[in-house]
Amino acid sequence: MDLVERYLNAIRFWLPKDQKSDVIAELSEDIRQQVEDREHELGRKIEEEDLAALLKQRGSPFVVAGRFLPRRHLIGPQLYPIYEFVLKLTAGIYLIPWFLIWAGLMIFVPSYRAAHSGAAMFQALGHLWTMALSLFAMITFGFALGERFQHQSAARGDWNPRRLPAVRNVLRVSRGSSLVDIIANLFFLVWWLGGFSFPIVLSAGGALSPSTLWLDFHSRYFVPIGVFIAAGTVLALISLVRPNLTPLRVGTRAVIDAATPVIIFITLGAHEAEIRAAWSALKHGAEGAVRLAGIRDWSLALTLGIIAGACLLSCVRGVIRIVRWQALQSSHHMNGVV
Amino acid sequence: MTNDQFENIRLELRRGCVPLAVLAELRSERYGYTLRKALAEKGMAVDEGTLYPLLRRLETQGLLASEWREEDKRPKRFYRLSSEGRRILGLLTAEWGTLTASLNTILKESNHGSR
Repeated sequence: MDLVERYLNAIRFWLPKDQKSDVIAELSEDIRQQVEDREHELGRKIEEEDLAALLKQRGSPFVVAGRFLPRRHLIGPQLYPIYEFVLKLTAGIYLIPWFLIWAGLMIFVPSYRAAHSGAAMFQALGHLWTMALSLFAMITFGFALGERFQHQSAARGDWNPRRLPAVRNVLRVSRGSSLVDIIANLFFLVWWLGGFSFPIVLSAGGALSPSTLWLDFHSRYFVPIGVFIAAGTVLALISLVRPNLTPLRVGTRAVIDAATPVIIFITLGAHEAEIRAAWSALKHGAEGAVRLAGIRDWSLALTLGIIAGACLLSCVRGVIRIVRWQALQSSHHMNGVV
Repeated sequence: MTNDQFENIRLELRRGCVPLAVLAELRSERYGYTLRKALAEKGMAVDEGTLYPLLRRLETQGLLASEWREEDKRPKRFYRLSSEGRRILGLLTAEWGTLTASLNTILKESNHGSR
């Protein structure tokens, strides 16, 4: 019966302290009776092989002990879908853009590529990995706390159907949104073509001239960016007349959104020294005109970076829509039927 | 439907009935092993990994009472229905009657429909 003792001992390990002796005594008696019945059936003493088969049938010690423990979960079935959604959202709005920007820098900025080759490349990816793990841990911890303290609110039934969000058709653009798009695009286009300018006054009586980064960006990509804005205006105009999107329209927008960051990355790469100098001036507390120029160049680089990130996100969203076009269409048809 | 799918649904169906069968069987006092055998003989085989945790849960809920006693010079834990358990068993039995009647009606209707 050494096998039975080992089996019971293994179960005992996983049981709560206050139940150990009680549960083991009961299981021990149950096994003893089962063995006696088996011996009666066989008409002989049970052999180790039969005993092993009998214990195997009862389940592994971990599984058996687990059935005596209260059912626990870190994040329960009610919160789990929201948890999964937040994880996907975090990957979509932070981790994927981070990776795309890093890939953009590696592809289009030679000095960045040179400085981050070999081990340094793995270091950068390691940073992404650490960030992903930290975010995952923080979100999981937050939801585990939510599970402990708050998840009963929805289960209690104190929710109002009238407060549910409206069904949003992602394949349809509202006319208001198209109108805002047209106005913003036209405004931006006129500004880009030199129709008006914003004098940046940063100190009493002192106006700051545009940076070489900006002048280069504006002169070199005057036509492409102008075409992109004009194309965006045309797309918005079409959407105003025909609010239901088509794969061609979404695809065109995605191409524009993909091309814009490429141009920005190339410009930033070409002016890396200037941006580094601006950062250095700010970091080392430069004063007067040097500081103002530093603020100007650094904020311009940052703004361009943010625009590139936003375009990348929009591009990814467009590509996802095209890939899932049929599924999205049928889901909206179904909503329409209901 | 594959055999696995059938088996999963079958187990799910039976799992819901086990507490009622256990409560009904414990109208007379029994210890774990004899309870398991009695249930198996009546066509409701329950493995020990399910039965013993269930007995504990029902006892914690106040539906069963238990005590350790010696029988054949061996300590055994005897279970019996508490007064609250008896009341709940009555309610569950009525509920079971309603449920089976409803299901029979539904199954008859669907049998007619499929013909």
